[in-house]
Amino acid sequence: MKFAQAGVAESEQVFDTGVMGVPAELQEQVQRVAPVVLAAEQLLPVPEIFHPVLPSGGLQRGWTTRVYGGPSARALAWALLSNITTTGGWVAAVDVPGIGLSAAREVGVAIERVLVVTSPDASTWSATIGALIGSVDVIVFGAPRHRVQPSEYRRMSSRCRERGTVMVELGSSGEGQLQYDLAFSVDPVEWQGLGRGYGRLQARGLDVSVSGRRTKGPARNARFELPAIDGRLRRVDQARPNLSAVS
Amino acid sequence: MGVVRGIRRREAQGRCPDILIAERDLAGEARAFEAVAAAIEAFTPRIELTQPGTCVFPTVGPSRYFGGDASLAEQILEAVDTVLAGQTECHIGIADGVFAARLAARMRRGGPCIIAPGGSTEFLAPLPITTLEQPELTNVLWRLGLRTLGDFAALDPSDVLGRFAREGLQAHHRASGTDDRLADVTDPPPDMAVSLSLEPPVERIDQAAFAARQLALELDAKLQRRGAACSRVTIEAESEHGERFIRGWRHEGALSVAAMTDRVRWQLDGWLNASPNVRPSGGLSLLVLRPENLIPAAGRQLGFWGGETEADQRAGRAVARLEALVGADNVQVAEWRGGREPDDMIRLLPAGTVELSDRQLSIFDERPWPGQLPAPSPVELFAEHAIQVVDADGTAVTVSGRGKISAPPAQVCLDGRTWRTVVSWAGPWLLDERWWDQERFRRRARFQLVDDEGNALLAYIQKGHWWLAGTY
Repeated sequence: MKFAQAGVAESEQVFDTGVMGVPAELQEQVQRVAPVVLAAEQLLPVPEIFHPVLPSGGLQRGWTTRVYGGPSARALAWALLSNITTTGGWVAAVDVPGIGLSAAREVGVAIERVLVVTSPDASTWSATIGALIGSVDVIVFGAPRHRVQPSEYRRMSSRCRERGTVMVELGSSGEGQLQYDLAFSVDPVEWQGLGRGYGRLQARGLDVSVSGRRTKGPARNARFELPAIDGRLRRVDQARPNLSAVS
Repeated sequence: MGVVRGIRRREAQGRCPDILIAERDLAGEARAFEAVAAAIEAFTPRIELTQPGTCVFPTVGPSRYFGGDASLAEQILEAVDTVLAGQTECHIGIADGVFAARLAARMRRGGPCIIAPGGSTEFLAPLPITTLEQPELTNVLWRLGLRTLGDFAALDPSDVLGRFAREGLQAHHRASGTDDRLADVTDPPPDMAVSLSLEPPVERIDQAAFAARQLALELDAKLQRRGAACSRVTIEAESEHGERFIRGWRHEGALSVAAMTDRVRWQLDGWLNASPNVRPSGGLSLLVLRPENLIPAAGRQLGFWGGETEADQRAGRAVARLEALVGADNVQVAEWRGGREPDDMIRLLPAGTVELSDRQLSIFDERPWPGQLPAPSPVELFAEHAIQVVDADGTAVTVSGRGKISAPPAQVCLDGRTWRTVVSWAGPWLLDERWWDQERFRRRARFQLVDDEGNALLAYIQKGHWWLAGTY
């Protein structure tokens, strides 16, 4: 009896689906045929400027992440994903309203490898995400408009871990519905290039704080310029004197 | 003069100012062409459609029956003209090979253009090399000093093969009028056909097209295992009451999944929308794709640099699944188009209609767009989002017809409730485009604004109203 209970608990851990009563020999089979995930091979490439803020210098396949903090969060998300698309990976954007793909293109995203998906209503939302898990490398999704059951979320993230797809939720506030492996909090600090009646927007400074259960330790902070005044993406190492918007 | 194939839109408008410009509607063409194909089918069962508007068939048998090439052509012309009822005209060309016959048909010499057997090489020789319609190849040939098909055909085939590989050799066959059957074409074993019975029978064309895509994927996988591709496919459709409709489709190169899906869609479109006595009386219950003319699959090797990769295939499968789930229009891929406004620059296309792996080149087509706002672009775009922008006195900011701003913007309200102070701003940048087009013309003045919370906005004023275009 005790053994049976342990088996059930274990099988729940394996599947994380709540399916009860999987016999032990089946479990063994499952162990054998389950895709082997080697951590070191499973890093998705990110631009070098982001290496210091990421725990292993890249985005680990299977992680669930969240990028939040106003529209600038999208700029960070696209910059983070740019190398994945240019090295042959696919990104799907699910329910991202008003998606500005020209901005994505400017930070280096190969937009021909971005699928833009709209789920018509709440009932198809999780099936849409489910169809993409394992098929694309990254799923970017806008915060769902409906309440998603925690069990559904857990199931999604465990499937992601198994199939090696990274989920990136774009949020506006810090409150997400999911437990995140990584959360990027984005705080816009300054705009350069625009004056009072002259100039144009040229450089965007962002304070990024990375936390989550994978960061091992306190949140990592850094300031990025996406883009900097010369059009490139850059990490600002030293705390610089805060430039006024009038440069 | 006049409007002819291949000229630019602007040029066509110049030649004919009243011209009505329409997007190409292949499905509509297929529907219209179905009647023509049916009329020709009365003469010979072996017709093959290349694309809506063109079909080819071997004439040896029917000519003997109908009293020679000229007589056959006259009779077909008459039959087709009856169907077309004067809406457009039909051109017929008869020659040794498909390529020569097509060019002969395009000669438009009043009646049918018949090239005597063995005379195709001579007929093709004086035509310019560009008629091959393979720009990459013909550019090289042109620079090598080969200006006509005759020049090219005069080369030794083995030299052409050595220098330009298979593709070049095929072009050489076409240029010399010997493309009726290519050397490396094999007939497939009968078990290569794939079929799908539809239960319950489908009535709508998009459902059928979706089934066709699955079928095409299956056929593609089957062919791939043999390292082959097909350049001809016979599509058989059967209705629930047993009516059958069969057409052969041929292609210059290998038929891709998307190309096969298109052809099924065209064919079914033609059938389901045909005149009542031809149209099937029930829904569609069976679809069969039968590959013919197998050719070695040259471009199907998984790419080392570029080309189709496994990731692309996985994405393609996801697209097929999602189309069933959320509808074909809700799964899109982006295409760079260029334009002056952020929402113009990118066009979203249904992902099922494009080849996912083959799309890099069009992206780098960068032409300058005068009046385009320089990078960075807004990350979030808005359509029809009205805002208010006022000056220090609280009156709405306006821009005169000469582009002069009434007062510097001081406050902005995005949601109708909270006002934020404008910290910095620039503009107006005027945009006046497509003034010749009643519906799509735009005349607006654009501004960039940064408010006290650090949010950067792209706003514009059009006809005295302020709108939010995007946030940075």
